[in-house]
Amino acid sequence: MKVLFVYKYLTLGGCETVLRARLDGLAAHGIDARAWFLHDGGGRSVFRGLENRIDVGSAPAALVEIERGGYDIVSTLDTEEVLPLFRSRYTPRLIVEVHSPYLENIEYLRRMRGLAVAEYLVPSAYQGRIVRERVGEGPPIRVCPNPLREEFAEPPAEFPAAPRRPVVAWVGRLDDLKNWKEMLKIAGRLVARRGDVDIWLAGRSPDHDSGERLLDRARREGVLAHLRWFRGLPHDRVPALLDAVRGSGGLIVSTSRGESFGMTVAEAMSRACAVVVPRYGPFPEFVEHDGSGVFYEPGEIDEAVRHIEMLLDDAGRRRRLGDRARAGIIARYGPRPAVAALAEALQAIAVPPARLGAVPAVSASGAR
Amino acid sequence: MSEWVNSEAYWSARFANGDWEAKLGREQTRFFARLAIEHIHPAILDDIHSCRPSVCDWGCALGDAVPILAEAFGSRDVLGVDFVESAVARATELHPGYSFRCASEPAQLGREFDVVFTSNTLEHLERPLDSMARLAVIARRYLIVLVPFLEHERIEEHLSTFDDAAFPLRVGSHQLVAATDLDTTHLQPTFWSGRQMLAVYAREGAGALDLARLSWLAPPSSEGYRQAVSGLKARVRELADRGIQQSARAEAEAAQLRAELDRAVAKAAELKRELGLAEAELDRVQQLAGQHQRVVDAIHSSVAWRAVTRYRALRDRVAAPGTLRRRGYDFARRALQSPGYTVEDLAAALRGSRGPGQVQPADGQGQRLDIALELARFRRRSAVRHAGTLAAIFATTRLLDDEGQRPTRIAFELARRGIPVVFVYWRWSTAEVVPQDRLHEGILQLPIDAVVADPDALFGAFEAKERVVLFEFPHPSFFEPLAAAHAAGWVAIYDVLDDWEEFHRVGQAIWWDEAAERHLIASADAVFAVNPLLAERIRSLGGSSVEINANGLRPEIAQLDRPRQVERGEVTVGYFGYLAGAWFDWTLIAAAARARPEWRFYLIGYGGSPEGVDLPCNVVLLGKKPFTELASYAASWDVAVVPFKPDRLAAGADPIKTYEYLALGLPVVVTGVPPPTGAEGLVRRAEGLDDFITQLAAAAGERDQAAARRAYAAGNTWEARVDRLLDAIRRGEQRIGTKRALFASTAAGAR
Repeated sequence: MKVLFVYKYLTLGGCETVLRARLDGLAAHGIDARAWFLHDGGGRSVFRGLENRIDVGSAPAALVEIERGGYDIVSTLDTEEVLPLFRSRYTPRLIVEVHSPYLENIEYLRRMRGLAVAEYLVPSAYQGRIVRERVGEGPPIRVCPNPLREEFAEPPAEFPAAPRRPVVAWVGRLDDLKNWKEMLKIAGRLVARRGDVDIWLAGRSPDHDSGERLLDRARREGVLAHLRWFRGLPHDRVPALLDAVRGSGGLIVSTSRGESFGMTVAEAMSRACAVVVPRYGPFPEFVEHDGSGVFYEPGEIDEAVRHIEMLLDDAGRRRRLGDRARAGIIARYGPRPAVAALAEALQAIAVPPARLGAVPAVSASGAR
Repeated sequence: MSEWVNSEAYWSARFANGDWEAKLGREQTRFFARLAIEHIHPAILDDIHSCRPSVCDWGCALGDAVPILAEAFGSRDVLGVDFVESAVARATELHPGYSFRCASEPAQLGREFDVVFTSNTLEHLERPLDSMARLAVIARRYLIVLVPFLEHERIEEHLSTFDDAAFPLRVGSHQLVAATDLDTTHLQPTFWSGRQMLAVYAREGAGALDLARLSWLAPPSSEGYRQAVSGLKARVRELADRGIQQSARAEAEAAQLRAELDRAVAKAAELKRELGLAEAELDRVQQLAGQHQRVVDAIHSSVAWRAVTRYRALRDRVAAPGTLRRRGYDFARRALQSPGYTVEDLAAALRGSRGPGQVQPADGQGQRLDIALELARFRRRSAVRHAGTLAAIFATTRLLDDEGQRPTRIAFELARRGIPVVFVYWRWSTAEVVPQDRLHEGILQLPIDAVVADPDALFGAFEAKERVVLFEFPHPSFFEPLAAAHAAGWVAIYDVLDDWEEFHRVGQAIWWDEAAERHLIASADAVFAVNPLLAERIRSLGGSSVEINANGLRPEIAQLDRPRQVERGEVTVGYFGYLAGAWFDWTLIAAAARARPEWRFYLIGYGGSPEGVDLPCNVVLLGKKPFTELASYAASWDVAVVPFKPDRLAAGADPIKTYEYLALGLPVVVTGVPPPTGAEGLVRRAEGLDDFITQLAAAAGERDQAAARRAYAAGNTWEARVDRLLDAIRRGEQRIGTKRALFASTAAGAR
């Protein structure tokens, strides 16, 4: 079976790392997978060793490749630009993957009439509900877990030079949806209560004045003297950063109010980090309160600070949460199970029910 | 089959290790619940709904069917039951507001329910009918069963197959009233590839709907029974019609509510967007206001501001705006700043035909430097390409060999060892562009403002194994470059060479900001200070680890070209270095010279003047002299001095000249600053005029310690300081080890 994934940007972002894991893993399931990008944003290094499996070109050029390549499935990832091409011409089975947490970016889903979408794939049931609101009843929506990269699945070793003070870290894009200002509020109240903690922020924003805004906000919240900012940390450094956080006796905080899946939290859990996350969106699908992480109500700064302090002061609990988080997350989102689930989905979608007579159930073996 | 499968431990493990959720067990539970609800006969559903029933979901797993049943049956009393304790615990967390219990037998619940619902549980048992009978005991009205139907090729966990004969007409006191064969293979989406049987049993005499079983089972032959069935079917149709009408009304109302909800959600989203924009704008305005206020405060408190204000007032009196004198003044000022003006320009200016800013200089000043291009060229140099270590230095000055500043000396020493250096220099105007005249030594010079504007250009440019950046002062604009350095794996060092707070207090370093310096201290991988006092200050600002790495000297200072013949006094006192009034104690020198007119005081230096202090004639200002000539002048001195004002500003300094005096073998007397560490026995410290004169007189007679002074100096060269710096990096001192471990292997891909 041949599958082409189409995505807008070839950058160094999260979607590209997911695609990399897919190209790495699908071959073992007999699936010949390639990726097509509309714009080259300097992300070819993500696909080192797989350069012959990726292409960059315009949407019409993608269509030529689709018709020439004999693909069974074309799967678009948040790339509405190519969808009009599928209205008038013969195409393979079309999957529309919806990963973007930015609602304005998925409004196009309301205009899908006339497109023969075989299935919508989403990384979480929460995202599935958001998609359902836009596409209406009828089109099948399937939850297909995002795979973690191999580096995250490797057993976490002891960090060789752990920071001396516990690190409370936040990883993500510095924008309003990821809600970095709330993190600084949390950090401000935390460092006002205890000075023995460092705050690490890993992330950046495309806005040219993001540094000034971060500096200003950090100054106002009183966290500058505890803050270490990693502006644009390479993704392959994130496992080490998470190991350092764990080794310091610290933890990971998310303040996001916009996630389709919550990859940064999943990555933190995969490195056995204790996580404090808002009870929001997709997080309850893989974080169990006091089992594999801790919830706070979105916006409840004091509650978040209370949870963070309790975890900082209780190494045993922190370790238990981290260990359980890792076990659970690797079982579901490790590269192998997640890619296997995708392969199963692709195989099910590839053949229309009319020809087979019956669509194999995705989860028959899980029946109870 | 293993006894392990279907045991409590087995299911407990499946729930705990995420297998249940990974295989979409939760979605499947919801799928089956909705399937059952959709296919329970409307009349039965109506009957259940009308009595606000208590409901038991037997075998609830993670409880995902419970909210669906509660809604469909109109029940506020739904209990989810499972025999796996961890599943019950998880269900309780996932579905707050609903009740869950752990039980392996219905009798353990100790109560009855109007409806007992069990979905896809009985097939896991070898004797499902026995279990059904026990469930019927606690079902006050209905027992609803959903199981796989005609599953002849069972999955491993299934122990029983249900066919037509598997459903008895009676279970205890319950009668089979409805059974529906459901093929779920073609549903989209589906979570079961096969058929399901939905069976509903009603307890006789308990008010439950008295329906006969449907026709899929062979009906009894008695006429009375057939009549009863016929009558009941008619009743079913009547109830169904009523239900459909009610359902239609409810759907219309629901559609209306949904439309209102959609409008409300859209409005809320719009308001949220507007709020977000307003918050962002407020942030930006507050930030700008704060920045401007800090700058204005700093400017107003500066000496320069006060001086310029007075100067402008004087200028306006002497050359009032609009007068010929003023136009001449304006032209002269521009011409001095920018060469290339002509006589015609002057004439035009005096005529007033060209306003300020209209006269353009003839040359191309003000061209912007393309630092990416400069860096690319530098990177292509072989020595840079193959360097194992590379350094960047954010300096307060330009790279001036003859001014001997610490950043300059460190840069040259690093370059001498083959370590390429990007010297990031301060400039007062973007028109200042330093020529790349040190490339042959391995030093690239870039202006700070250009690097701050595009820090990635510098920090993303090099792939040397070890990359080190030294921040020589805590400018707030380094916030982003520091973060870029961290993300790119550079070792970031704050090299503390002055008390910037004190400079700020006296009207210099107007940019200084305590929070920004605290940030640099906290965020740097290592902090070095030039003396213990500065180290203590860093600790007071939150620095948990700071090491001393003092200033140093160039050994070649002692190379004597030829002695300068200067008029000697009874005691000849000398000084060379910066003469800034902020710390140079002109008053002390003048008073000492006046008190000892037979002595001679020689001052070599730049950067300041006596500023209103009358100097007696035995104080001689020699101006700035080349570094190579200093030893020649000092050869005729008896004692060298560091006459700094006794305040915090000077106390934070570690004057390089002290080391250089010692290298020349001279006795040294200092005021306001401490002797260098380890040189306390070689340097005299004085307080006040009398003590200063006394110490000078005593020191002048100590020529015999010259060898000891030179020996001390020999161990305090810039080479030794750079050794210390590189050793600290190599050993991973302070937090350098953490940074190195974070970037232990090559990097690719960015977040």
